[in-house]
Amino acid sequence: MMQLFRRHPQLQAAALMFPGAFWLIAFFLIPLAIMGVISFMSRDALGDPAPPYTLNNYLDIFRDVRFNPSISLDGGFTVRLIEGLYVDLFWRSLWLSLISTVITLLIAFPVALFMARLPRRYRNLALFAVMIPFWTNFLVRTYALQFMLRGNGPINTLLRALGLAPIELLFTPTAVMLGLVYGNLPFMILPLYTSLEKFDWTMIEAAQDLGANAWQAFRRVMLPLVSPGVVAGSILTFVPAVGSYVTVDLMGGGRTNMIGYSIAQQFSTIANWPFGSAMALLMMIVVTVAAVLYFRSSRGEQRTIV
Amino acid sequence: MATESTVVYLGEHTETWPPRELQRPSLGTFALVAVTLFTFAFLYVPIVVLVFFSFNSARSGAVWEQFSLRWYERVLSNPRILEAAMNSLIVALLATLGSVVIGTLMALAMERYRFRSQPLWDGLLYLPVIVPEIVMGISLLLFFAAVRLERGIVTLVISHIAFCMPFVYLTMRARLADFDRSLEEAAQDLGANEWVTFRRITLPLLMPGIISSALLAFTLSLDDFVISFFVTGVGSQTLPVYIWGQIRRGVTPEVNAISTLMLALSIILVLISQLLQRRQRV
Amino acid sequence: MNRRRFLQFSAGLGGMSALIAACGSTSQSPNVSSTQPAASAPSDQKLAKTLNWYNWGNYVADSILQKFKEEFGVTVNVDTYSSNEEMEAKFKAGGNPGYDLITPSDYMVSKMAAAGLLEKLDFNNIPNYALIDPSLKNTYFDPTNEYSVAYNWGTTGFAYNKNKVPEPITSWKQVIEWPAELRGKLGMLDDVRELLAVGLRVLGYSGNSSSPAEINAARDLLIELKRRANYTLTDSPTAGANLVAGDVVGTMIYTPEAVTAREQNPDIVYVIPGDVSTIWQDNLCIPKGAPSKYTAEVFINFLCRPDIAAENANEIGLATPCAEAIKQGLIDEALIKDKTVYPDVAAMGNALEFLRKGDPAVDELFQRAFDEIRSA
Repeated sequence: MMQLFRRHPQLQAAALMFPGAFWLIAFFLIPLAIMGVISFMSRDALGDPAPPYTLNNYLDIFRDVRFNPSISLDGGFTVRLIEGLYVDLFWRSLWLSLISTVITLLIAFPVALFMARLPRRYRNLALFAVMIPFWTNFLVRTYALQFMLRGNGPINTLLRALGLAPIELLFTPTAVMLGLVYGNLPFMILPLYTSLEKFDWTMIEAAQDLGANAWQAFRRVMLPLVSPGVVAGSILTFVPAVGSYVTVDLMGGGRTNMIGYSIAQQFSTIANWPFGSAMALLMMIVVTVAAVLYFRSSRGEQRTIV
Repeated sequence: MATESTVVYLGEHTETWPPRELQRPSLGTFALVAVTLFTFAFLYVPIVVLVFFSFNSARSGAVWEQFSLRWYERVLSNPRILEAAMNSLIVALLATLGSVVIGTLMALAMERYRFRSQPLWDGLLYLPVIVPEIVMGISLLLFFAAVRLERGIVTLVISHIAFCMPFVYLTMRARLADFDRSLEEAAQDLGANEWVTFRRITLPLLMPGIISSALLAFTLSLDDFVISFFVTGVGSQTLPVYIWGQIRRGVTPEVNAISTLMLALSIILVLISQLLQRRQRV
Repeated sequence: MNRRRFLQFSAGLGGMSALIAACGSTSQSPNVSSTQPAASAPSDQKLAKTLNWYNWGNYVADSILQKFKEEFGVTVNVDTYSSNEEMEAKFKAGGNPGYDLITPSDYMVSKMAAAGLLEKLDFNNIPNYALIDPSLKNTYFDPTNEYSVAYNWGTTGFAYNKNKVPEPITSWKQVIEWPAELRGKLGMLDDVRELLAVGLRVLGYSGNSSSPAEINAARDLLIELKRRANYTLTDSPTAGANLVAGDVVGTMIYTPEAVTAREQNPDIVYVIPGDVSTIWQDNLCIPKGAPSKYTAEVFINFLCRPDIAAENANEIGLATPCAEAIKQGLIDEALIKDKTVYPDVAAMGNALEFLRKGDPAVDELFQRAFDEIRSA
């Protein structure tokens, strides 16, 4: 038996791969496949998924689409070309997630940069400080933020104590954005820090010696080398944002709708599994395509995001 | 969600460069310091405020009444919270164990062998990182329904392994890429068989990676709400699922107390990881 | 009850519910015999060690569970859900996950019974059923009293802070005409049917309308209101918390959360708007495949005992269905006299209406309208 294994590396590889491959197939791909099948089903008289198979669930998503370019700044800063209930929802979710990712990146980059340049002792301390929120439960952190922003929360209590008028913070699109940024910041800082920490600063000096100004040195030397961190951080921020449910519910108060919330409702309040499955799969495809395109466009030669 | 890159911080730090900016501060440095301080304040103020008010005797609102431990007493005497905490720990431990073993084996296979389906697996292993949690949660619910598997601790552990495993894999893969195989070869030249080599050389060398991926998997599992929400069954509610039920009922001081306790747990975990890392270095 | 009969029931009555019709007869002595099912052989008359109850959040007093353990040695584990459909999904998907007892609302009882998800109760084990208010029996959703025992009933009304709104609110019409200066301070329920029912009723239609034109008109009304008042859409417990916290000054809400909110802030008033509000009834049912059916029935019987029912009602702020508890004067004076907690159903007549959900096609119509409101 051992001999057989020893002689055939393919068998060894297969044995090592087996548990993981099994898990991935059985508990990731097959569930998605089941979801795929259900997304093509109709509903019976009791509302349960049942044959005949149909494209209607997908068609329903696009049923009311019409061409109507517009830009609106309220309720989620939307720019769009076509209009339609669920198409808008998809678009708005992607858009809000993109904006939140950009904001998170803009905040996280200087922080990671600063951390990476600290002397080692302080650097570890700063790292420790980022890791605590990172390891703290996401729900707990979102709840903490909700508490801060409430009408009778600390911010408004302080404002009142100072004789100022309280401001409406919670349950606004801004609150949702704040929640997304707050929730995802550590996921952006850490990968950025990891790449920046490895960065060889003498290269900047070299670039400047060769006559590059600060911006050129940053753009041409630093950015390409730290881009794996940027990509990893952006994807880890963008993906959860698109499907976010907790943040939308706790911070949005029903005033901001995102696709993840709508999908959850298809399952939890009207038990329309076929339509919910169709929306969920479409969201997965859109997010995956967006992530892969982003990988491709910014990664160049590198093969991993680490 | 977390990142495989988080692991790298646990590893060796490359030698520091003199932080020149700090020696002769410029406007840019000042801005950098300001943004950093602001960001840390943004990250910490809500958490600190939450901890602060968990010791407040008042039932609601942000007005300080007086110091009180009553919410902690309530939490620690509530059997449902304790049960949920227990469930969370059991699931996290089992999921960590499972995902670390499975993920490490897979990383070994992918790094050390060449086979035709490799690119396919490479792509597939990224997929769970990219797929939104809600899609994964719902599809697992549909799957367990289809195979008539009773929802409970078992389904929770299965699901948690499924989403932790890719992170363990990516971490270990990165570790293995830097792995110096000459030590293994030396051991084998000295007559050690594969098993002895693995146990005495490979495993100890992989230990830092295993520990950091285990801590990552443990955190991911404890943190998860969305997937657990869909696959939890009778009497197996995890702490986040319980907390969710409480949060939706508005500001309950018990949640402040539970949150503070969970925060303490995460600080302890971070400290452990730092200590382990330091020990590994010696 | 089979599906067709249920549909006839829903369609024909036009808002007038069987419960209200039956209300003239509250004084009748409880008619136990009619509710006795055909004698069935007791399967397992031994008490189990534990009982798993899938219940709404905050919907039973802990002291009650403690007493049951002391008296019967049975530990009751409670898991919670926040919508009927969320609960239903657990049973539809892969059968009973191991619960002995559930608390579905009115329409969900008939829906689950029709889908074969409920056990028939053995009323020999529930003698205290005779103490339940007869007006809560023979309901439209369980006309022959086979599957359910009433647990609590209440209304979907409106709660507001009397110091923060210009004038008392007594109608949904006033809510729809929410003053622009209180923009952002109105809360509505994040529930498809409850929300759209407000629009339908203000327009003079039934909350159970299935006409696309009527539903869309209600939708437009609510979208217009959203643009003007910018209301929040949350579930009832969150609505209560928001009202207490001052994030809203008036909100649509269910009775139990309104009672809780009122306790936390005496300025909060709960009203049942007269231009038709929803009445609902939550019921104790045993799901198919319950591991300990007998124990569940003993527990149901325990919950119907006057002292227990009263303790539960006083603690949680429920409207107890146990007529005997009320008769014996065990319910807190303040609660029992409160016409918002114990509304005079007979007197309110058509002003109360059950929402009958469960027709998939109609549900989809409503859900789409709701998504449009949410996204507006």
